[in-house]
Amino acid sequence: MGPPELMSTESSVVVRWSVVVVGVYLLQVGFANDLQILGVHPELMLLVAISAGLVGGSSRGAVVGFAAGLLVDLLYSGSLGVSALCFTLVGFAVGAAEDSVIRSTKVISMGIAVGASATGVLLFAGVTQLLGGHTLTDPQLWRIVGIVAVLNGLLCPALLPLCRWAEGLGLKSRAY
Amino acid sequence: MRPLSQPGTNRRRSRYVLLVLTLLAVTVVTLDARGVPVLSATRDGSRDALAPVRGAARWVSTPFRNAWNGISGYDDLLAENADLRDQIDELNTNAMRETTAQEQLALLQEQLNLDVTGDYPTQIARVSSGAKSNFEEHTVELDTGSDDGLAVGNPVITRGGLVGVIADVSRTRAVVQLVTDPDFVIGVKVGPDQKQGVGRGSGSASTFIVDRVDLTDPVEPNDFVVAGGIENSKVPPDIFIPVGTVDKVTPDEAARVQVLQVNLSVDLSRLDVVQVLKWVPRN
Repeated sequence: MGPPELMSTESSVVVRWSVVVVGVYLLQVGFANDLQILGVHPELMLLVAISAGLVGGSSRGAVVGFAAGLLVDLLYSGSLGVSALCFTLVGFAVGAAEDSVIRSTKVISMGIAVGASATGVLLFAGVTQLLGGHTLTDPQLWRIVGIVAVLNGLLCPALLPLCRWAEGLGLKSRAY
Repeated sequence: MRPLSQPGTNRRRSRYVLLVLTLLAVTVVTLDARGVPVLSATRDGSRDALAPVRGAARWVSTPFRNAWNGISGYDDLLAENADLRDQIDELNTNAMRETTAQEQLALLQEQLNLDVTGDYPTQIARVSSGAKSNFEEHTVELDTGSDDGLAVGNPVITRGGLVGVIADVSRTRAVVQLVTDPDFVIGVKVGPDQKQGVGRGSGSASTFIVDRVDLTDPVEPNDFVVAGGIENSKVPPDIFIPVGTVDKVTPDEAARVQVLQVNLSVDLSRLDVVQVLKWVPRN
């Protein structure tokens, strides 16, 4: 057990991240699923995992990614746990990548979000294919990868302030 | 910037967290693949519980969604207008032929016993906009579930023909696997001679593939393809449900079969109200 003030800080971080994850989930099901370009919508929950990795490091990225992925799995009709697995790995990898960046900028964060989103979708397609789906052979695969990556990259700067707030860094922090 | 702390300790902790969460996720995937009931019950329960939340979120965002659809769908709207004008011309041309066509249709229905629902109880359901992943293009969600007597395996139809079968059901929702899904396989009958074949989804929104039709069986473009009349099928054996009409016939000399490309009779991109047959296949 740590000191009481540290536990209190940690629990308020958990509460704030829960608010962000649930809020983005509502945004995904209420609006983003219809925000389609060529039949593809942004994956905001994957973006939450990526943003968590960007602002909170690999550990935070993995935990938030797991929670966001599990919520997505409960929502869609694919195999349960696949999104949780993929988002965990992506969130962790983003946190590790962010650690190796000496001075992060908005453009670097957007670039990481684009790359991580593409990786996340491909990872999801790969794992689903292993479980008997046709996602890797889906003729729309590269269109989905490309559009999700670009949309998530563009939406990343809008989500980062919320994630910084959840992490306790303050909405106006300049950290990317 | 994130607060700095001992890098070594942090790294070890991060790896430990990753290991635990990965194992947890893999366990969930494995248990779900093995069909552990508690997981499917959890998912069904959370879907039912989240349905009103999703509904409320969609209601709140309606003006924004409409605005987006207005922006992104403008080209589609123009194309739709052009299509509608063409259809009006076509309807005017076809009006004279209608009487004869109706007589022919009545005869055909009589021949094929094309009583789509038979005596089976049915449930009307509405296609809801439900949450779908980018890879779930071959499923739709219905706004009714097991509370209304729906079950996995129930065939879903419209007046136009076969839409798919129910693949997953919770208390208030059901997920339909569409006939376009490459995993969707069903026994069908082709043409006036009712030759048997195996139909499957092509992955395309409007095309269906029928193969294993014997090379010697006479099949012509525009022949009807129907599901039903076959024991142990996904639809009742004593009724015939239209699937579509043959568009292209490709002989496969090596396998001594014909492969048929079929135009689906139902426009799956405009599904709204469907009928669910409360019948479950034996197997």
